[in-house]
Amino acid sequence: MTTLRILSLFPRHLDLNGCYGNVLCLAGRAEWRGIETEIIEWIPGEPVPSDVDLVVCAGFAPLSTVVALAPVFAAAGEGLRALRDAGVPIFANAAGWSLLGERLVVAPDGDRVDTARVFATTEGIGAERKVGEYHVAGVAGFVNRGTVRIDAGELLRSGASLATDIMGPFLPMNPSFADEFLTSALGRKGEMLPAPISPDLARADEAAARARTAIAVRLNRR
Amino acid sequence: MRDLLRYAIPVLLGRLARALARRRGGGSAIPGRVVLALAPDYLTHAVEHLPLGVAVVTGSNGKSTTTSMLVAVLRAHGLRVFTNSAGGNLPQGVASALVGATGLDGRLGADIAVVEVDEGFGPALATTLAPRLALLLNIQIDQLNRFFEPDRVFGMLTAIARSTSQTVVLNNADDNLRELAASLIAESREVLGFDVADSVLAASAHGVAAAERVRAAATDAPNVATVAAVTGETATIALGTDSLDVALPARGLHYAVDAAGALVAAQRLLGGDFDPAAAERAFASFAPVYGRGEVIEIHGEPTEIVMFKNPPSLQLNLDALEGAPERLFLAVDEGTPDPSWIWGIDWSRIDHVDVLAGTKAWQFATLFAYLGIPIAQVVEDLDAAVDAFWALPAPESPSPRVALVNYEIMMWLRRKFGYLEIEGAK
Repeated sequence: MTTLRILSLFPRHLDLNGCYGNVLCLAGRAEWRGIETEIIEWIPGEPVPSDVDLVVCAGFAPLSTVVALAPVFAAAGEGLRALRDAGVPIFANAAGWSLLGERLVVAPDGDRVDTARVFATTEGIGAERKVGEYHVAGVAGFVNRGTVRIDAGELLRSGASLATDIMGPFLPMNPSFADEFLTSALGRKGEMLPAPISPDLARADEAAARARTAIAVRLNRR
Repeated sequence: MRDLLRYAIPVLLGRLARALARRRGGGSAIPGRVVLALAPDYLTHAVEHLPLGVAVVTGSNGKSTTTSMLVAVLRAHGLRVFTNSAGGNLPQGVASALVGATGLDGRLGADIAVVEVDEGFGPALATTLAPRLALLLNIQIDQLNRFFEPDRVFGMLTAIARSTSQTVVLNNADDNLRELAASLIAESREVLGFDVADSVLAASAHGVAAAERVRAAATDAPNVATVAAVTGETATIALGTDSLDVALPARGLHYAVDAAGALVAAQRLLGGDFDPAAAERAFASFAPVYGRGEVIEIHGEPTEIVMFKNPPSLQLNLDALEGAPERLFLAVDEGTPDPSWIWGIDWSRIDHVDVLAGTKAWQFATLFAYLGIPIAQVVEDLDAAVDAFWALPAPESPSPRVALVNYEIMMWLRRKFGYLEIEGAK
């Protein structure tokens, strides 16, 4: 049986907002399709393993924490870019995207902090914070950020990888992206995404669809 | 006489607004807004002459409970204590509570004021109220949509601590506050601490749930009280050379930590008059704060209301459940704008949900699908959900139905089922 190895670039400091739900989602959907998974927790400062099939860098953290972790992620950049170039799908959201971008411009005097350079984006401090529910083209969730990026919107696709400002459990709320990642990861092994063997998958997707609809309805009302 | 001229009309109009608000049921900031619009210095004026001054209580979680505990202990020592209604912890809420308690000269007739303050408005309120003592409970993950990140809350609590004239009492079990202790001690301020014994921490599933931040140097505040043991609804707290057995409002380590903080503050405020036996009596007759382990009647059925505002309060309340509830109602609405954090909670204490309700119900249903927790019914509309849940047969076990709800739905349930008094107004 196929086993997918999911690398969670997910130090404790980034788990302020249920971001681990993205890892749970990939593992749960794989299992519902009869695929085993193994979750590998990366310890910041250690080398990035090269024998993984999926990478998740999901998180929400204070800017001070992001800045403090930036050198560790910059040092891990080479290993992460090698995975990206080998077609391993990488998912990042919120602070996870900040740490996988090119650099952060964090201070009013333009102080720059290098990050992992997996995504070609530069981030600076925003004039005001964007906070609220989000629904565009069927993609839904919640955005809460105080930074701006001139070179990308809320969602950036790059090869098999994806970065988004939509925080927290983005993949379970928008499960078609999770299935895309699983398809890409299996494709590298010459395999197709199997059909679900558990009715729980349809149940989860119906709940997520209704949750997205509820957000859309609320935003339309405002 | 000058005070009468200045404050009589604002206070009377504020009282009128308060009477109208009480008739509607639920808390109201309107009386406070009225009086502050007419007399902007009302808050400072009301409390500046109090013989024992002002104590403020703040932190991410446990403010209402700890404020009530401190008030109960001080009253058990014979003091006349003013306190703001729980939940009314913004400036206008504090003013609303004061309107009913000050004379027409705008002065409070009390020995001491114990004021629960919101973290966000705390720095401004602390400047206005000039507290003698500040009791800082914790810095946890709370209202990210409002506070954005725990660093900001750290800054707010630092400002409150620096506005305090005599003593800062803080939680040594919260590493964030230990960082604050280090800087306050360096500024030669009086800092006293309370803590949890390692054996007690080790026995709890998630400790005290302090927010993870990258921290500067931290140190213990000189420790005065330690939670030495928690058994069911009783805690043993070592306070100086005394050992107190304290009845808690409900199961849970977090209540024991709140009690330890209240005891350190009470002892410091009372000095030589502090009597451990009087303190124990105060806890024994303590009534739970709304929605914190309280049992109310809904459709004639006893129902335990378990309220949560944020991840730590939900986690600690789940940990405190005695087994999985047999009949569970779970409801969350727009009072929780982004419930993403439910994915970071350990839900192993519940094994099913009977009725899942509120505008955020489907976000919970998504999570529970991945966790394999069955849901009998999802009903977004609250009225319909309440009808559906309380039509179910009563639990076979002696424990009551459980309603796990956010703050806004707790207040809504109270109003709907005839609990009309303003929270905290006794």
